Amino acid sequence: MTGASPARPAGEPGTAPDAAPDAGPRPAPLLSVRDLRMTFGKRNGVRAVDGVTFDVWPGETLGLVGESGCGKSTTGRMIVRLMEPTGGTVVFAGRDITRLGPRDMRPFRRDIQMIFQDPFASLNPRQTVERIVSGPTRLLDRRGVIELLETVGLGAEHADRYPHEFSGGQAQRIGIARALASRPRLIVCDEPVSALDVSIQAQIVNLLADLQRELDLAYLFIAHDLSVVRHVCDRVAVMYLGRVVEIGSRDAVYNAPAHPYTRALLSAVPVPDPEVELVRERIVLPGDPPSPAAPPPGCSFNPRCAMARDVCRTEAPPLMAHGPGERKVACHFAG
Amino acid sequence: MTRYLLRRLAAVAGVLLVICAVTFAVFYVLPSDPAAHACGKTCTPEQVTLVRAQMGLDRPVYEQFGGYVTGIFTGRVLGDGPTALECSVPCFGYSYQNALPVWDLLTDRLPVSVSLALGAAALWLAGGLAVGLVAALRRGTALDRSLMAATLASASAPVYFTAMMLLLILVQRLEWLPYPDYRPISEGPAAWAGNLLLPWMTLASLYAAMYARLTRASMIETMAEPYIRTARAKGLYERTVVTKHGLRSALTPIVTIFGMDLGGLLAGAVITEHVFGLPGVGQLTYDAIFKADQPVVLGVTLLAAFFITLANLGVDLVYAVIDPRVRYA
Amino acid sequence: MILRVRDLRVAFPAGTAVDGIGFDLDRGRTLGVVGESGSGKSVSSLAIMGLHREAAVSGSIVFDGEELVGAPASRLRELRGRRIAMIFQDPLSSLHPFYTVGEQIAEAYRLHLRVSRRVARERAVEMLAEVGIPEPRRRAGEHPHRFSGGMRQRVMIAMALSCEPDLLIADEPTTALDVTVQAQILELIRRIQRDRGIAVMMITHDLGVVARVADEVLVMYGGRTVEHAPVREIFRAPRHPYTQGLLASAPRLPAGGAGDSPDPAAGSVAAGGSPDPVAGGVAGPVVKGRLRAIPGSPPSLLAPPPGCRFHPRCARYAAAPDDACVTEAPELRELRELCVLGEVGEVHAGRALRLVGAEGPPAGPVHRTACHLAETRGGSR
Ligand SMILES: Nc1ncnc2c1ncn2[C@@H]1O[C@H](COP(=O)(O)OP(=O)(O)OP(=O)(O)O)[C@@H](O)[C@H]1O
Ligand SMILES: Nc1ncnc2c1ncn2[C@@H]1O[C@H](COP(=O)(O)OP(=O)(O)O)[C@@H](O)[C@H]1O
Ligand code: SF4
Ligand code: SF4
Ligand SMILES: [Mg+2]
Ligand SMILES: [Mg+2]
Repeated sequence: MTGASPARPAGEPGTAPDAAPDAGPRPAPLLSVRDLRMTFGKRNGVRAVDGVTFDVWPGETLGLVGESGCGKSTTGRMIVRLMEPTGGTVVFAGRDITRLGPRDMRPFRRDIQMIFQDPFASLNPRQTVERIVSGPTRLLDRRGVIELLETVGLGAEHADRYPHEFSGGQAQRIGIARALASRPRLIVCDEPVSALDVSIQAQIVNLLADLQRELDLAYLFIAHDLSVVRHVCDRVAVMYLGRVVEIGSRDAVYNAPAHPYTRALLSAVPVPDPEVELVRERIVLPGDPPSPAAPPPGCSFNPRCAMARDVCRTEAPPLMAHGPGERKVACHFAG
Repeated sequence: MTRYLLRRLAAVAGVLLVICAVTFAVFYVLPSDPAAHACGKTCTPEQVTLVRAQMGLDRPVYEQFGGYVTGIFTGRVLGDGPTALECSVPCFGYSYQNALPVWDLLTDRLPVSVSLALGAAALWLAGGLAVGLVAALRRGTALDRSLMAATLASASAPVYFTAMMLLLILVQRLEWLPYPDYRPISEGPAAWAGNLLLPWMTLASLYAAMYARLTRASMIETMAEPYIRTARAKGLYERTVVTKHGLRSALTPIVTIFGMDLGGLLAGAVITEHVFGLPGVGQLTYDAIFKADQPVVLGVTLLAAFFITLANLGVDLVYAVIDPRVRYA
Repeated sequence: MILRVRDLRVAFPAGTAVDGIGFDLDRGRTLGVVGESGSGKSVSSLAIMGLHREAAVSGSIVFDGEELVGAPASRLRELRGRRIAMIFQDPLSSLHPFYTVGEQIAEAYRLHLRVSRRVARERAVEMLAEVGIPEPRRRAGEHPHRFSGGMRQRVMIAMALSCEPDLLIADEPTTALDVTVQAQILELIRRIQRDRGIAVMMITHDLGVVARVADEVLVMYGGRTVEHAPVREIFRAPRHPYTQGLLASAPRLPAGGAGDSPDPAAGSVAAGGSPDPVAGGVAGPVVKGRLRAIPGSPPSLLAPPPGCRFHPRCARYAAAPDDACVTEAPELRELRELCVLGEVGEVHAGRALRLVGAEGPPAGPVHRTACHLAETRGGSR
């Protein structure tokens, strides 16, 4: 548990566990997540999220990457309060929203929205696009809906149709329009383009980028595709087995990864260039990601880590500042 | 495994107890007076009171219930004085109607119902699975469509109607079968089966139709599974693909339903037994309900619940054998 | 040549899913097939396996000198699993949940090689060891749900390779896997290919995977081949607007070593030597997060656009509309280099086109593309 008290979200430089990069005065973070935890099941529970800490500033995109099952979606769901955390705090715009009841939570529900991976599964097949976008509380009238549809690249002619009449990319646009209806300040995007074709993926990425600029949105962008994340994010957090193992500015993480896992992850991503692929150094990690039900003792990456030494098997490395700037790494031998 | 079995058996006992209590409660709130029934039309009010006392109906309901449940395991004496009745283990009480022990009534009738259920089940399983399988493999053809139309007709025909038609054609017109007259299997399997064939067919035609549709749907779904494509990609014979890889998975949902259906029927097929005049548990139930014969109704209800919960347990065990994912869970 | 496909067509009652594709594949080589979902990649591979039941397959598939289109079902069955093997995208649902992995691997071996149960069982253990499953003897007795995603795909590979096939078709074998596991599986396939000299048809939508494993690439769009070339050519000098768009729209990592460009889209277009606003859309200053998207969406099988199937999304057509694009399906033509003066990036000026048609015999690795306006680009640089 970090010392950050919910009443005083990490805003001031120095106390902020995740301080601003250019040391200049930066506004307080929009979202501060502190030591967030989620354990499923009572006896020998699955520690899906095991003490996650990060900030998201207004108007920026924080990428959350990691392999399947490392706890990305669970983290996202706890932030929008689709799930109750079993520990830690979520502070939004200076207010601890972790334990708010449904009534007090309502204004925050408008501020924090979510976009999902499967565009169809998240749209009610029996509602028209207009109903879906205007939401259960009918936030918007028809004109507002049409305006919003145009914002996301659809048109008035789509308002009366049903989800099944759309392609995957269009359905995702509807999902985005719905998320925008309440004029949120933060959108948690859980793998918003993973289910889409490459050419459509680019369209949605562009749309999200345009919306961010126009509406001053902040994104928590959850994805397993590191190439996409490099394109959309300002900062990146890498998760492994329920923990953040490295967090920092995009360029720092991608150009000089400091955690052995980040390095392996990046080197594993195939690059669409055969000549690069031919000469590229590639770290092929042995084994599979371990299960969060039985994490290895010490550094949870140690069974797959080429650099692991004795201390790694006994002591879990804390997330600590690494080098200049805001980068933090959880490794005894970060380099 | 043993622990699992014990836990499941305990659950079965719990369910039976609850069903017993509910049945008791239902009879308690019903306006009929079993004592008056049992005593007869000419009874004076005093006599009825006497009978009521002897039947224990004047006691509070929880006492009656407690007595009933303990009686099953220890036996008990009903009433007192010269009219006291010794009721031995397992005691399910005496019928109000004919003063016979309910247990004896049940055990007398059970072989009939079991014969009926098992024979019909064999018939409908064979017929339903075969028709469903053929329809699934010939999906979309004229054969599939006509088979499905036939099953729809067969499933929607009332049992009375099917029974009458079969009687008319097979017994009266063609004279291929005798009019059903139950013979226990101890009198020879031929006589037993010959007399039961008609009820079997009646009951099976209803269930076979449902099972055919179920098998078809399940088989179509299974044959679209990626692992079936893998089996074909391995170069297996289509026969192997269908039976070893397809049918085995397709049958799992059917096992569940079969367990429930069989469990229910073992405790009597009320309409079929009634139509053919078979002296089974169903017939007993039918009469008991009409005469508000509480001990008998209670007995058959418990019997039915027993069979159904037992069948459920059986289904789960069979499941664990066919689906390894269940076994490890 | 182990596999020779010509003018392959697969028609479902609802429409034609594959409309005339062709390629050659040698032993020891890998053909990458890329395209968006619904472009006909899986349908083509199932046609080669002879696994279509409701579709009409026409054209020609010659496997090791033997014509497979129209061959008796029993012959196709003998080849399947024995000489042509296939692995699939989702390794969990592709394995039967009720049988142990050992049983499932042994099943095909036993059938095709007519060996005893015991021998087949030994073979299964041996294959599991070969694909890198620890404790193969014990794991052979376990059911698929006890394996992780990567291990299941290893099991699928063990199963596919147990009979020593000559051709392995891998239909998106790593799409469902994590990158670190994908790297393991690609490495495994590569090693096995090298050891045994088998031909591999690697189907994927990931251009990075193609760049890593393929010798030659076939790009599919709407059931047709739009471009077919050696892997370097596809990435260095894509000639079809769709290929160019695909490359430009794919986000990428810093190219580690090779001069990294801050705007990768611009980088790849430069590499492609394509000055036209191919990937359409929105040129202009590069903003964080912007990619060069191809507008619109892939065609529907039921009502494909007339003429060139790509024309509703094609920037080249939009820039210089040509009636042929709307009325006539472009044929796959060979780009023949008449004089090679400089290195790859500079040769475009010296290219000319020669019509060979979809049926034409591609002698050696050539660069073919299906676009009416392919030549208009040639000298524009
Ligand atoms: N409701 C639940 N009950 C039990 N375990 C769960 C539940 N939801 C998630 N988990 C487990 O928690 C871990 C993290 O899950 P999560 O969905 O957050 O992963 P993820 O990083 O989003 O993965 P993916 O990339 O596959 O979406 C996994 O091991 C998962 O099995
Ligand atoms: N059994 C089928 N019946 C009708 N259409 C099909 C069938 N299988 C595939 N298709 C269609 O054929 C086209 C190509 O599919 P497919 O080869 O699976 O695409 P992919 O390139 O993603 O592998 C799609 O439009 C798909 O809907
Ligand atoms: S702490 Fe040790 S095991 Fe963990 S990543 Fe660092 S070097 Fe590897
Ligand atoms: S033929 Fe015309 S529409 Fe098709 S790719 Fe070429 S230029 Fe574009
Ligand atoms: Mg997720
Ligand atoms: Mg496919």
